[in-house]
Amino acid sequence: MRKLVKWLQENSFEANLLALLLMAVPPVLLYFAARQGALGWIYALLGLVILGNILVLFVR
Amino acid sequence: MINFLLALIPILLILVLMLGLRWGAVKASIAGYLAALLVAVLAFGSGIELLAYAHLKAQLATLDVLLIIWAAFLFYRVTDEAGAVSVLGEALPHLTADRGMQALIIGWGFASFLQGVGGFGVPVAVVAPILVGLGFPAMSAIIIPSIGSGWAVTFGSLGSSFQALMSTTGLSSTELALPAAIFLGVAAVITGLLVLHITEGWRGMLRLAPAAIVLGVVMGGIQLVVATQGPWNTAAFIGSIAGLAVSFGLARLYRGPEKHNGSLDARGLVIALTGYAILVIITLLVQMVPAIKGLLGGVVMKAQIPQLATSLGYVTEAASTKPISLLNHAGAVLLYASILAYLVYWVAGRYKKGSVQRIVTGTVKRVKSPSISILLMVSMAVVMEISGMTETLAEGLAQVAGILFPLIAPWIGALGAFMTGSNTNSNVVFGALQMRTAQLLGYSVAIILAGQTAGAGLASVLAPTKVVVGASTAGMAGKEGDVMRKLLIYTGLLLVLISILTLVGVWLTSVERI
Repeated sequence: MRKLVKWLQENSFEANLLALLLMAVPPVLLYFAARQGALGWIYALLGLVILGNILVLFVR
Repeated sequence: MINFLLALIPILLILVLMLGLRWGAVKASIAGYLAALLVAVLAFGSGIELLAYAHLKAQLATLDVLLIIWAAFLFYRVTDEAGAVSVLGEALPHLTADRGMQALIIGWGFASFLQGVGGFGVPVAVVAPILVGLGFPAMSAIIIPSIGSGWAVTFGSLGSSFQALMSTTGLSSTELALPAAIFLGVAAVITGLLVLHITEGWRGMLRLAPAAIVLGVVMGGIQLVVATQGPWNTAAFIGSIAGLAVSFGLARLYRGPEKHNGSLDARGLVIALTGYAILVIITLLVQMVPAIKGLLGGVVMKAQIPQLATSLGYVTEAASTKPISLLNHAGAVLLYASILAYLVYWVAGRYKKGSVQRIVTGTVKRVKSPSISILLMVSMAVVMEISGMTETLAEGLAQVAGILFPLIAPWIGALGAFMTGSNTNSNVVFGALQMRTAQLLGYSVAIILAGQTAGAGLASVLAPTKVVVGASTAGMAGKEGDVMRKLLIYTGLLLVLISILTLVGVWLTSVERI
């Protein structure tokens, strides 16, 4: 875990970019998942958005 | 009562983290967003599908905002790399060396002009670096254009916020424009005095008060005349142009300490100003020439959101998201201006080798953090709106206020602007609610809505999203809490003023009816 955090902080640009993608891409897919009523996909995609948030916290 | 307090948690959390613990906007917005999600699900009965739609809606709203911010930074980098900002900074002391007049002309008049034609963070993004270049402290460089352009927000951005108010309430400009323009006109005079106070304290404010009052009356008065008699969507734009014209004359009366500033590079100044002139011309062409507006308005991005309901019964009617017209969006206009300005500066030989790479790298570095925090702030606001938390907050405030509702109405508008970062969004979220509450309590709807939009416009500068923009352009990224704390004092004063005006307005219209 410590190694992962260190790697994220050393590569903060890539980590920030990944976090932004995790927060920005899933909402588009969420829309289609919601229209299909695919609850499993919605949970998974919302999880990715929250993962993006947590990633930012580790990077900063 | 419990729901009211629960709905307040995300906002309180952001305020405490940013103002109290001095967290940066990104970390504070993560906390606010996650808190909003939890409260929406656990206390307001928001289902997982509702959250899915909320995120898409937030995504599009964020894009609407970020397009402008990205392009504004790009425009700034294009002009800065060409040396335009420093040329302006060197040229201004030739007009006046008086620090207070510099603040009035650039931080008030020019910032209001940019608000009139652009808006959404552009005034502070463009003006703050110029003021820093002139030697203003970074904090003042952010606060001055933020407070200075507040009066021009409602009728600025070519009237988008006022249009939103009319759309959500179904009332016409004839009914709404007069009280709103009066409130904002009074605010214009006060913002000028506040700009002087920020720059030079009480002594400077008293010294230059006559100039500020003259300019405020000109800008606010012309805005009022245009809003009520002419094309209301250009009211702030025309008002600030008139103010700028008068301020050049006033600068002769306040030239400041005589000193040798070197010779003026007239050719360099003309070339530097060309970039800003291109921005103005393109904005006017795209917004005011119907043929161009129609031609560019064809590519629109929007999504249809079905009717959504929480398990507590709060219903959001089916509606399309706000259309984003990609080619005549304010961000697109800034992009066109950036490209043209680059070409002009390039032809004039203002760039050194590798300029494109420096412009792009500089832009990406500056927009990285603001992009993340804006995405999260808007997501938080949309989750709160769709789950009914925002309405719970507004209703609670109105109930608590009772007969003092006129005093509270501007603060509700301000709350919406703080959360969404936009006068327009605040009017969309709270306009109809304020109208209904005013009708129930028997108050003048036009006066209450004037308080709503004036409060929202003046407080929109306090929105974390705009604070992030200002802090990053003036080199104070990570110190957003300090900036917000300072802004809070001046914005609070302006909101108290609008509250009093709303109360007096309601009282006068009540007397009229009797």
